[in-house]
Amino acid sequence: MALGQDTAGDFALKVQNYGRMTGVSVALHAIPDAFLVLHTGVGCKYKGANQLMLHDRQRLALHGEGYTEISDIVFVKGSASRIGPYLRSWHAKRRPAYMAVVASTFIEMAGEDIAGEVQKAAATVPCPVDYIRTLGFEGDLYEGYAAVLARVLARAPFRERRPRKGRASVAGFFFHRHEPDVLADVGELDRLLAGLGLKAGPCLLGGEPFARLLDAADSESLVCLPYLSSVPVPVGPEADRYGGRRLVHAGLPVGLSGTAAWLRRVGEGLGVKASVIEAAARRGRGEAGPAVKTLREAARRRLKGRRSVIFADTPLAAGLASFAAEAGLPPILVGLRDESLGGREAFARLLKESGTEPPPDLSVLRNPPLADARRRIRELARDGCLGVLFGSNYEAAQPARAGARIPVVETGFPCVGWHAADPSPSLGFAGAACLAERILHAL
Amino acid sequence: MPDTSLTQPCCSLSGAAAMLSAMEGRFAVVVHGERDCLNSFLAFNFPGAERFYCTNLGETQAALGRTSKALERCLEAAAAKDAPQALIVLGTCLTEMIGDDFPAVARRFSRRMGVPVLALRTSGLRSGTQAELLDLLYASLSTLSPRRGRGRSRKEGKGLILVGLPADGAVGGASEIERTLERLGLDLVGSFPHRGDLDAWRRIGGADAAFVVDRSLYPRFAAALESRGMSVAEVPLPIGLGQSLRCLEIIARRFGVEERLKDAAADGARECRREIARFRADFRGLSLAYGLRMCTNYEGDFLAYEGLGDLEFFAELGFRTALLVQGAPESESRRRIGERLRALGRKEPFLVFPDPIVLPGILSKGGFSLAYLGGHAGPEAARAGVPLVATRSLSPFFKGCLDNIARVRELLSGKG
Repeated sequence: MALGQDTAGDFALKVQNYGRMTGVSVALHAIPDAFLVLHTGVGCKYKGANQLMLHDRQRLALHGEGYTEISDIVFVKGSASRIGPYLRSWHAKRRPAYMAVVASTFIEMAGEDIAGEVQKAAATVPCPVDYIRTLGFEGDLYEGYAAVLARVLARAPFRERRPRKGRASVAGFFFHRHEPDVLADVGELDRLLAGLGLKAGPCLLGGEPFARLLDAADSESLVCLPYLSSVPVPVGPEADRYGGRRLVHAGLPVGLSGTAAWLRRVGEGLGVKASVIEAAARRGRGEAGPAVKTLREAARRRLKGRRSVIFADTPLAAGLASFAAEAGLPPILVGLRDESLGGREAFARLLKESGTEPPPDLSVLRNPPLADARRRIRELARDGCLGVLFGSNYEAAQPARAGARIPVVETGFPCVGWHAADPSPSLGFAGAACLAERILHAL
Repeated sequence: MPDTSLTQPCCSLSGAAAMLSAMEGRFAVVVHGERDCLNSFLAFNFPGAERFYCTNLGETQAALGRTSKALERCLEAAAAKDAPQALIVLGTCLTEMIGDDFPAVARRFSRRMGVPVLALRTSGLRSGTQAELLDLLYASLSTLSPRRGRGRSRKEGKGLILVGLPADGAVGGASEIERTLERLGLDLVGSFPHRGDLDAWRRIGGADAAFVVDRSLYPRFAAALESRGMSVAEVPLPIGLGQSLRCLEIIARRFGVEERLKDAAADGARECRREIARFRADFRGLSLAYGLRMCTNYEGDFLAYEGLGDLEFFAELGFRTALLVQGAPESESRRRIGERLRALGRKEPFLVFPDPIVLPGILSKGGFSLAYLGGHAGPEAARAGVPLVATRSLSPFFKGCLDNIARVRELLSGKG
């Protein structure tokens, strides 16, 4: 390419710029008795727990991470030998049930055998230890998260344990904080499974201790959510990896029709009777329908044809788009805050699976530059087109900056400005009611 | 060299990125390295993150040292998009590791495009002190201003800059120090970092004097200012009555406006004296756990006097103090910290602790009335039942002093 032909967008900070290291950190944070060793310089600490500090007020992320203090002198002398002492020292201090080690790009590039050193060190601590590669120019947050999921699943004794009949575990839930919103989402997934007559096993990841996660091996079925999609599939049938457990892949249950569709997909996939599925869907609609209807009426009266803007990772964006459409706030702009969850095609497929047709004028941007995304939000707000914004902390302030007083549903990662005091799910029928209430409250 | 500082070491890229993303103005920042280096600061916390770009170096480029084209393209794209008045290139561990001569690329680009380009050799590899980073950044930014004599202050001979003062929480309106300087007939050209945007940096050549909290933090910056013919004087961190008064007196003396200051400061100082006396009458036998080396945020007021700048305020209120220093617990580390504290003239008892997790035991055992620790140690202080004042959350000058006293009073009364 000739000089001068690049656009600023090729180089600009994106709405979701996090790399694998942050994803590994988020995943380890989700496991309360895990510990992450960052074999890095001091700056890479910011890619880990520091990003979670303002996001999760319930659990202090810093307590789950330590770093090996690489300086120039240490680096020149060879740094890998530090991994063992630091691993043992942190184990002695925190007694974790599971540990992972990541390394900075420049250390990886120096050619030392980090994997070998971690393997050696792992033998000296009484807990499982995984080394996860986190090169800074490969992969995004969700790939890092999925890499941990893959390691945990690989340690679950699927072949050794006999599955319990009627028990199902969700695998691939994006658990990013121990606050009442995300905990409530885990609860909603359990409730949805219960509605199908299934007993919920541990959710991966669902905020539970490491040993409990391994009990997923007791489950007869695994409901695989899209955050599992970045896990590399080995050669051979996928189910072999999980000792022949029954697998069903589904999007996120968001909104009324999205959740009903999710129940059908999961229920049918796991051989649940149609009457049971429909009864669960009817019950849920009955509980949450009035709140969504109230929102639809309020939107019609007070937002008069205004639309929603959604910035979220692909599965969540599809779910929120479905919810917004049924609430009378069809999306006009969607920003997909990831690079590994399938992009526009996955968004369209997941939206279709939820039974929602995208508006013909919907614009879908795949991980756009932060400056462009913010400018678009402000323009829509100024033009009076924007009725509600769903977005992370990166986008949440933009309507106010444009002088527009419209409801903002801060969601996803990072979510810094909103912290629920009570259980406030986004998933399931209760999630639909809760989202509707959040918007109504802001109206 | 062992790090003898009482403040946390830092990655200079993280520090520079955090400070530049908090700074307003028409400039762009290019991080020259891998994409993930844009996460070495909390971008979501700062509106200025929109101005950040990354050369997105890949493995092959780094391994072969072919980085200059990527930097040129990135600079061109950023310049075309934002029409910036300045571009700032920040190095990373990757460029440091391969010895990349990106400052030469930056110089060439600057000459070709006629835009100032500052190239800073930042990285986490040469982790230094936060103060070193601050000094490097300020000294570099000061070169954006024309030489002295151009862009003169509005009030001839009365222009000044302030460096390292804490934010006073004034939103929109003038702060207490701005109002006081106005009453003294002085012209505040810029206050760095809290009211120092790019324009202020471009104007500093018009100032006659600089007042710096803890001059030892800024050797290069102070030298750069003096080379412009500016006088540079040290002022204390204006927290509490005594330090606030001394800070204002030094400024007034430099401009010969001491008499005006007597008028301007009289009411505020009197009220502070009265409140301090009331507090000391109400509370006796107080003890304070004063934490050090717990924060990394690159703020001059946090770093001033190695984090000890707020201590005098607590002494004014009658607290006895013990210092809790976060650091390696080995005896060598303890010895070095002890030496450093003695060199700073501190005589308080001190204790070195490795990690906030051990603080509940220390705080309970010490029977402290109040803790002054990094805000993230809130849960530990709560577990020990000791009320917490987060590090450097105290406000400056007289109004701040009154607010601080009221806050400590509330905390001690169990209402905070």
